[in-house]
Amino acid sequence: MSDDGLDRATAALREETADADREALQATRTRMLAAHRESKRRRTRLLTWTLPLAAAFVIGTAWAATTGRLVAIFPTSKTAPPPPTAPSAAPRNPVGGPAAPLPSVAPTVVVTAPSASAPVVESAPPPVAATSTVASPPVAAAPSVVASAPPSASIDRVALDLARYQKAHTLHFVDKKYGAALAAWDAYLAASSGGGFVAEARYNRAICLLKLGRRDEGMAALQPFADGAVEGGYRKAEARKLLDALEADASSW
Amino acid sequence: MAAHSGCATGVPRLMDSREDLVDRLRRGETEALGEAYDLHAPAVLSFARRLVGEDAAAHDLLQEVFLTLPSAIGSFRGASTLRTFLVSIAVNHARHHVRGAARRRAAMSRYGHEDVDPPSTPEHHAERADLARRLTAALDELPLDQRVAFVLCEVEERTAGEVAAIVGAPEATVRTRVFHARKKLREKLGGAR
Repeated sequence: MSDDGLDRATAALREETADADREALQATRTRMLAAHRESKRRRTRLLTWTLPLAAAFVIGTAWAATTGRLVAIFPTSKTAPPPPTAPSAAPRNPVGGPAAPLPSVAPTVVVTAPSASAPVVESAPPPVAATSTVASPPVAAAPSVVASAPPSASIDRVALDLARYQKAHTLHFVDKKYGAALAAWDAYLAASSGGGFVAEARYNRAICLLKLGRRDEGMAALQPFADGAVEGGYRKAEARKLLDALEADASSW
Repeated sequence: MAAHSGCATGVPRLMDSREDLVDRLRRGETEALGEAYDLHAPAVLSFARRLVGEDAAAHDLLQEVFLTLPSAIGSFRGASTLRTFLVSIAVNHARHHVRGAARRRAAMSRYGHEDVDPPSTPEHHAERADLARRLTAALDELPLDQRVAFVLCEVEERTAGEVAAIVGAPEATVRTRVFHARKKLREKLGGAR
């Protein structure tokens, strides 16, 4: 075909497609606007649902981070062993020294039974930190929290709490220096901001008292746990069992 | 570019400046989308029909262009007209519409169905329609970039600079594409006779 022929064909295509069918255009307009409105509605619906959820998640996470519960909810080292700690981590109070009494653990419950046998205590409490998903996380998670925490006062306080917990945990379950551990638990509880692992610390403190032969104090400290009065029944069954054993066998302590 | 004189539907607010319309499109106003459609849809549809060669597919492409506009308008910097911007969106979305329409035409041709005008059409109109149909069939055998360049430069009679802005290629590249397109089309249309 010559240039002229191609030009004629081009002109023919131009003229054939020059006029638009008004009705078809109007129909496409209606279809397009309906699709656009539906798309906007879908986007709005999506935002209506996702924004509050996202806000709740962010606020909840921030709250959990500042109160120290984030580590408890998302344990980062559930299967990891307790971290090695420096044996030189000296307790604040001398071993065997008198532990500061805790108002919250005040021995208000009357204890009538003598102490239980040592093996009972030996076998039960240490796994508190070794196998429990609640007690072990802060020990291992503490360094990462400290390392990644933003420079905020509340986050620093949480990190300090965790460090104190880790120290007491190591003295208790790794070094088995119960006197030092008792002092460390007391220090943790005295300085704790209220969140975190107060229940775990109180329970471990009670075990320390029993280990140190301070049976009555230990039993009094355990009693609230056995009564289910601590954090909705934290270690209630174990505490009850331990108290029963202590009451049954008064000679071993 | 001036508003299309053959505005098909609605009553466009011609008092509004282009910037105002673009701003309202950026704010996601549905009314602004309708106005942009009223102003530019006929021109975009003409281009789509010339490029795709099939009315139904051209309307699908037209709808796609205007549905894309609210999200694409963010990248509109005002260097070209809104209509040119819309045509460039059409070019970017044309590939699968062109392929689909070309496949359908090839199938129709294989099975002997000719989509011809009614016999009542006057002779010169019938001849014009036949020429246009043959050119569209020849365009089906071109690479898309040459097809786009040919339709924009030759059928729509746009300048090489404008086409370069639409397809995002240098002017020289556009001219080369048109040259090769013309050469192939001459061969195909000549052979078809």
